[in-house]
Amino acid sequence: MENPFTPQHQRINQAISLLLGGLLLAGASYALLQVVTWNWSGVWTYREVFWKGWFNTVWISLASLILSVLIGSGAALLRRSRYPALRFVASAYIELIRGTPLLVQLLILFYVVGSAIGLHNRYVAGIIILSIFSGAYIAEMIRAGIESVGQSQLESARAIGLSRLQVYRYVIFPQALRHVLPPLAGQASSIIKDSSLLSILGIAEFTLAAQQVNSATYSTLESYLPLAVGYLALTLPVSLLSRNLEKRFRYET
Amino acid sequence: MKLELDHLSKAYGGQKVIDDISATLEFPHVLALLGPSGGGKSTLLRLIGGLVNPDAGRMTLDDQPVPVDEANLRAYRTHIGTVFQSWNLFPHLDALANVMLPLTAVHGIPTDEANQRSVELLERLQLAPHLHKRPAELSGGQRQRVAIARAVAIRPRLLLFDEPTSALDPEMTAEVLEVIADLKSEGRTFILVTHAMNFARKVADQVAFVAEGKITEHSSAETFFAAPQTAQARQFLDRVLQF
Repeated sequence: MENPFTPQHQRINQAISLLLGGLLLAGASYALLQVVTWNWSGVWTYREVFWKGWFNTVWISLASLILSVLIGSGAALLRRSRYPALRFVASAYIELIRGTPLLVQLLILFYVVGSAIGLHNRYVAGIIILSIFSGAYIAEMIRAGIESVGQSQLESARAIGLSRLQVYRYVIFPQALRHVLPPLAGQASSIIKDSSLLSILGIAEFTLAAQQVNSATYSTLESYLPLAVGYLALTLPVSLLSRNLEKRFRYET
Repeated sequence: MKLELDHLSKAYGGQKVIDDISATLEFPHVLALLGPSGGGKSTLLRLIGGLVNPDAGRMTLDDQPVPVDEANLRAYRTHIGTVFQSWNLFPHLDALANVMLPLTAVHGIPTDEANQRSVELLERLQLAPHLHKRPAELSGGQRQRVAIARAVAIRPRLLLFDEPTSALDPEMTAEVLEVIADLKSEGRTFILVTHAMNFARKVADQVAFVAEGKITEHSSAETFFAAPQTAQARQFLDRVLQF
């Protein structure tokens, strides 16, 4: 299926690698010359702030992942309800959330809705809003997973006499799971990255921590470089896991 | 077994697939539904199995009416074992779990008893080495034998076979037909939709010829194959038996 990789392709590939390597080297040298003196010691004194922020990001993301799976499952089931009104509610939620930026949702839901209902705990509010956002995407993943279960499977399940609930439990859910898991792992990585926006609500997660260190030390690169590395340390394993799951489930069907 | 059809009709998208069928079919063990493709055989089988609801008409099985409301239909289906053309096993469960699921989830049989019954059955169908393989790891013939085990395990009052060998090569077809023939000698009762004409002739007690949504004739298998009454059935038999 794939075109063969000829010696000519190899030469072109080498040329591209050389060019990219050169550009990277030039860029890095320029950046280092601009930042004449590193100030790692200034940042090092604030390592506690980094750690706390990173740790907050981890548990905020984890809590949001769990809550958004619950919200997403609920919305996916509502979308398949036999009552049009419930299907409409679910569709409206999914389209509204997917059609607006997370930043806008944070501003509206925290400063308008949150204040109105008296929800002032930033962490709780942040997790809920992030979960509402992510849940809309997860709902679509779960719906696609459920719809991937073929009509013949449902007929077979009915033929052996399973009830509607049992069909979900024994047939639809386990089969949908294998379709949902890989994109869900990708969504977990999105949640980790999107949680950085919670900094605008004053939640002391990783990005806010780096901003605080930066304003205290005036060492921009030394504050934000660890920030990027800290996020990668979380997202790279998740991305590997996602790819792994995808491969494993591809062979099993 | 006695199957009564009373003005039975079913349409899909305006197309009458089952067209006002009334018939009383009595057969000691095996009824074969034969006829051209698209004539309504499979739909008739699904109606008998309680998998689709008729638009009009009623059915009785041994003088008991086949229910039409979903709650009673579900109970009705639990006593009927269905084997589909493309086996329709659950791909996420291994062979043993496929056979056990209806026993434990629907019939409330304790796990160890269900396990024992399923293993015995699968071993009898020469599937002992394959108990813990998933459908994707089995051949078509093995899958269909697992599907038969799943249908038989519940000790149904009636088994339904919907073209059980149409998706199989000749060798696998033979291994599945052997199993079905054994079921007859064990005294089980079933209705069979098939294109394997010689097999139908061998195993069926009674034949109903289904074409264009009607049962155009029904008689004992001997009579049907020796002297079909309608021109349509004659033509059909001439064509399918010539090779």
